[in-house]
Amino acid sequence: MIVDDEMFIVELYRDILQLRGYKVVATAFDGEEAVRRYAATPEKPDVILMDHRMPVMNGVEATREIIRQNPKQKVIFVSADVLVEREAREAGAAEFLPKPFRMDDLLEKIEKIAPP
Amino acid sequence: MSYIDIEGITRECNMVEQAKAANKEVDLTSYIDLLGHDVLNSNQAVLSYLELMISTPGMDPRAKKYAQKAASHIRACAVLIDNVKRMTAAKRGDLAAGGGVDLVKALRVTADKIVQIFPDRRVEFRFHPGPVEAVALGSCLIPDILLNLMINIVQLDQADEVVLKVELSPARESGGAFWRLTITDENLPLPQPLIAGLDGDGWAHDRSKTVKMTGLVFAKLMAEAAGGSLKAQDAPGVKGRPGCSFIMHLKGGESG
Repeated sequence: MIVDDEMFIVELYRDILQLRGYKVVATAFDGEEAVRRYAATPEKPDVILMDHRMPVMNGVEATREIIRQNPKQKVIFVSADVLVEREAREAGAAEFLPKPFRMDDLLEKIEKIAPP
Repeated sequence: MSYIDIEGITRECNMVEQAKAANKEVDLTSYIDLLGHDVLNSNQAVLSYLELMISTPGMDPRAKKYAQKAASHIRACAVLIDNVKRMTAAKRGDLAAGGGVDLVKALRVTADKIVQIFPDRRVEFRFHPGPVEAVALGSCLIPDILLNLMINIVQLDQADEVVLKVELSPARESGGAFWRLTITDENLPLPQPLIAGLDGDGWAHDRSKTVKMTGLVFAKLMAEAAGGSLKAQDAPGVKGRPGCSFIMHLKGGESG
């Protein structure tokens, strides 16, 4: 699942992930939508890529809510805001990747959590 | 007869003006923070699509090299954007220097990052034997200080192959125990105005001296914020011209 308020970033992740054989089961453009869609998606994602700065509800709050729904859910926090890493991890994020990241670093973190 | 408090009115006008100035500053720093975020997002897209191009099988080797050069500039640009965000946080008083960090480890991590940032060039680090561990104060600042320092040195060198000698040793100064970090590039003759510009706060008064030293100025300001210093000086060089050493002092801390 991809959560980011920027459409071009969502498309970028989709392009990277599909090249490596991953399937994107859901996308959301703000934290509240992410929480709603996660609850409604029957096929839970192995990994959620979560941005931080989004309208309505930010990534830390959305992560907290999703982990509350499912403590086993793995979230990779991907954000241009490096100063929120601690909050993200306290909210339950399994990994934190500051933007801009190398494509290989993102794929390595995903493969670590969810081997193909 | 009515009494007009001229001093009181003047005082109030001054307070209103100060409040307006303070609000404008807050607006500017908030805007810079937002701007930095958006620029980093755009950088991410550029960098990742370049990486996708580079990894495309059968790509023309020359086109691949062009894409690598472009990616290298984007990565360096992202560091500059991060600098702006850190400086605005420091100005707001939101940035703490942080506790102890092992410089030996931090230098190795930074060296690896530099190699990744400049895949189109050959950057080699030669570490002189030194302490096994070197704890310095400023865990929130030191990684960025080292990154900016090394990026700027590599950018100034411009050669396809860059060799940086790195030495770390204890130093004692009036402020207490320090670590002295010396990074030498034997193939980088720095003009005297640049060396002078980095000394003291001359860089702020004559910006023509520091036009190529954004990372060095950031490293200097942040080192000073952590209680240390940065300066440059001539060093023995190769091929008949001088090299340059960058000498940074960072306050010693206690091992965790």
